[in-house]
Amino acid sequence: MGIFRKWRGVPFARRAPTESGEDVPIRVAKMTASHVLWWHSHVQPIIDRDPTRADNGWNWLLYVPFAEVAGRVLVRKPAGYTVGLCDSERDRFVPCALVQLLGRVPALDDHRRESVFVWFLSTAPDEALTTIDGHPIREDQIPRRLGTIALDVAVTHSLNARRIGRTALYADERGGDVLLKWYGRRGMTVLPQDDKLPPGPRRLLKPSDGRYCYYTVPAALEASKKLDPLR
Amino acid sequence: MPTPTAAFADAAAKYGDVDPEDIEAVQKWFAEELPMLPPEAIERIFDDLLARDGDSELREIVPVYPDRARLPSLSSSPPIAAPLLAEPWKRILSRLFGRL
Repeated sequence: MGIFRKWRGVPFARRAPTESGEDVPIRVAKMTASHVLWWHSHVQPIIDRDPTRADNGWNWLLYVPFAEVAGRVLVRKPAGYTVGLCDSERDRFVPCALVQLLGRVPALDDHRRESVFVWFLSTAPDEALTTIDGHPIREDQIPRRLGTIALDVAVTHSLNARRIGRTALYADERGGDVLLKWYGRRGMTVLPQDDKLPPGPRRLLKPSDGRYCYYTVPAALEASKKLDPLR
Repeated sequence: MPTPTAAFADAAAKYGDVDPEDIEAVQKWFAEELPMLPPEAIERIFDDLLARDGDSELREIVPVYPDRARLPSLSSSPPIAAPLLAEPWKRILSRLFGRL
């Protein structure tokens, strides 16, 4: 199954569970300026009121140029994705999670291989989805497992871009042990503090400190399989 | 994750002569000026930003939020195409030969 998945690629999630028990339709789209403009006007102010969130103070208006324009020319192949709720009747797309990743960096567990690296990943707090002017979402219709779905976007990109699932990230210190454990529950391995990062400026400026996490190929395939019911 | 906002402001100041305290000017530079630069310059800026990935925020940049941006439309947010072989075979055949 794993070999087949690596060979044929994987579609992104198309549904998300809700408290009502019914799934809601979602779409993974290329991140665009209109997505981040809406996010920065409506979602980020709510995130910024919570100093405990790792994404407090982020500014997606600064990140999108790399995904939208510069991604074509940069060696590390940045890519940006928006996970959004679909309302086809009213032609509305409600961004619920944003993911900015680098498509080509050395893998943490095998420096000769290439991996995807998650640079920024953020999910909308419930309040941001229930307070949309003219388009409030009912509490029991809020998509759940958004963090898992957003992380799966990176793994899916890795599978489809011939990185065979290898995906890494740095767990922000502000997220503390809770964030590290969250990534661990999703099958990621923490790079031991004594292990060296791949050659590059990061090895000197931000050496391994026990907060770099990565998916091995088997772990990525397993995590990807777990989300199949939502594809 | 991630590179702090201050690092983006510093990059705009270094490469675009923008006031790093003026976050709206920094945003405008990244959105409008950065894509016009030659690829080598963008690569250098990108390297600078990645080198500061995981930095603790050195100074606070007061955010400015756009006013009442419109909710994006579904039609302008097309889904990312799945690899052809990952699609169910019925859908692939429908695409190739029309409705079955």
